[in-house]
Amino acid sequence: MDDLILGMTGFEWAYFGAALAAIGGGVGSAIGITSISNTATGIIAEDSEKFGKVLPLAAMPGTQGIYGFITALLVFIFFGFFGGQADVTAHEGLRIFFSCMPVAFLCLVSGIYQGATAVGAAGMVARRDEDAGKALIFPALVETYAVFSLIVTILMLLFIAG
Amino acid sequence: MTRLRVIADPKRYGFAVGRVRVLETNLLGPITFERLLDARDFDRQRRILADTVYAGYLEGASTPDDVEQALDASLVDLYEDFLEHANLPGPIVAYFRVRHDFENLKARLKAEALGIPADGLLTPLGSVSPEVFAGPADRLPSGVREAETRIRTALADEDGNLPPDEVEAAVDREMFTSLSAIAHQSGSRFVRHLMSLEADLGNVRAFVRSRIRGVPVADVEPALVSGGTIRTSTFVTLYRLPVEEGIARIAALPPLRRIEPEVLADPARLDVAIDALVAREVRIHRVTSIGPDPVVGYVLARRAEVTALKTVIIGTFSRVPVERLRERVREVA
Repeated sequence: MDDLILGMTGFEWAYFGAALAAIGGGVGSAIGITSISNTATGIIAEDSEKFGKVLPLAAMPGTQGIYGFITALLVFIFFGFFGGQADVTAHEGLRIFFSCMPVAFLCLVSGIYQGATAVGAAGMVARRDEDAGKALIFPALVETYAVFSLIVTILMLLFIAG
Repeated sequence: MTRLRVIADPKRYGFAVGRVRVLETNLLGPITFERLLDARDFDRQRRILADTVYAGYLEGASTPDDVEQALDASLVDLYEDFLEHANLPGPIVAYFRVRHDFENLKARLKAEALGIPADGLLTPLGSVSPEVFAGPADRLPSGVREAETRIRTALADEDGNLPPDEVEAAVDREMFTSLSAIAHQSGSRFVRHLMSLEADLGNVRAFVRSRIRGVPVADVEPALVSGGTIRTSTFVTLYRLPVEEGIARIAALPPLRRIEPEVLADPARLDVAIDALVAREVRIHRVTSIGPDPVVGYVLARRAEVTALKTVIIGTFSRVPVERLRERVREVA
């Protein structure tokens, strides 16, 4: 398969898409977790008993990185990259690349904003322990769109693989 | 820029905001102030404050001066242990501390004009130690030293003597000019807003008090400070109107719209209304989820709390009627 699009083979396009999905999700998660962790450590510095209550909030933006990782893994599994027999045309490779984009972009953005939402939610927990459950809901709403992006990416990859 | 702040603000202010979210749960609420007012005795008040941040500071206090010093010490610790380590931009920290440098400059110049020692009049809350203000001018912080030079040039007679009556307004003008510059450097919209509100409210105070006492406009004009949203020329124009009309027109201006004209016209209720207005602004900005505003708001709330505590405790020492004290702290606490 030596046909090219913009100088890249299908294998390279697929690799590029998988890499961007992993990078986008990972960067979104890293920034999101950093945001909420700074606030969480400030809360714990003043009241160490809040650790258990703010930990779920700090962990929540981590899922975007997992979605990016899953996407990259699915590209490798569906198209035989592990067996060393990837047989992908340039057009297929480009389709795989585009399939990875929902996760690459949405997980980057939603990870950052989920972290920002979790900062506000952590403020609720700092004030009232009883609000810990409610506080989880708002960052979880941001998660919805990261999940949607993963579903869309998986469906697109399945369509190409099938 | 706004999008980048989603990333930058939590990184820069996250830790301080996290601390603030817990610390603000320890701010004294209206119920504590009611109990303090009902106590009518310093020992009982001290027992009520036993579980608060102020307990240690008030431990050895027995006179109003002790209380004042103890509560000031709690603010010094707030500035040094919290504010200076909150990762706030330098101008925001300066916004809190430089005003006290000017308070000390005022005490220094007034003491000199009256021929008394300045030592007992100085506050430890400034950016430099109060002893600096009792010493030679070349040891003063540069901005304050330059302000002192300008004030001396403008006010001193040929023998170098300062008129005590004019020192206060001259220092206030210098302070507002300096704070206005600091607020603009701070990059915080909240601090800029607060600064202009303080300037407006300072001018309203000067306007109302002087107008009711019938002070001539020429004597009021120098006391008006710049930096507010209402131009000093507007105050001068309105000063020429009859008292009620002038005050009503001032009350209709945007920063004062929440204060009734009859409250504005009553000097006894004016200070309470103005403090309440500032407290409301601070409460609004404290709920911002991230950024410098919650940190600035917390420091301002603690400052207001210390002022309210001083009012209640020292008022109790002086046997001020409870109702007057209650009115004074109701909206602020």
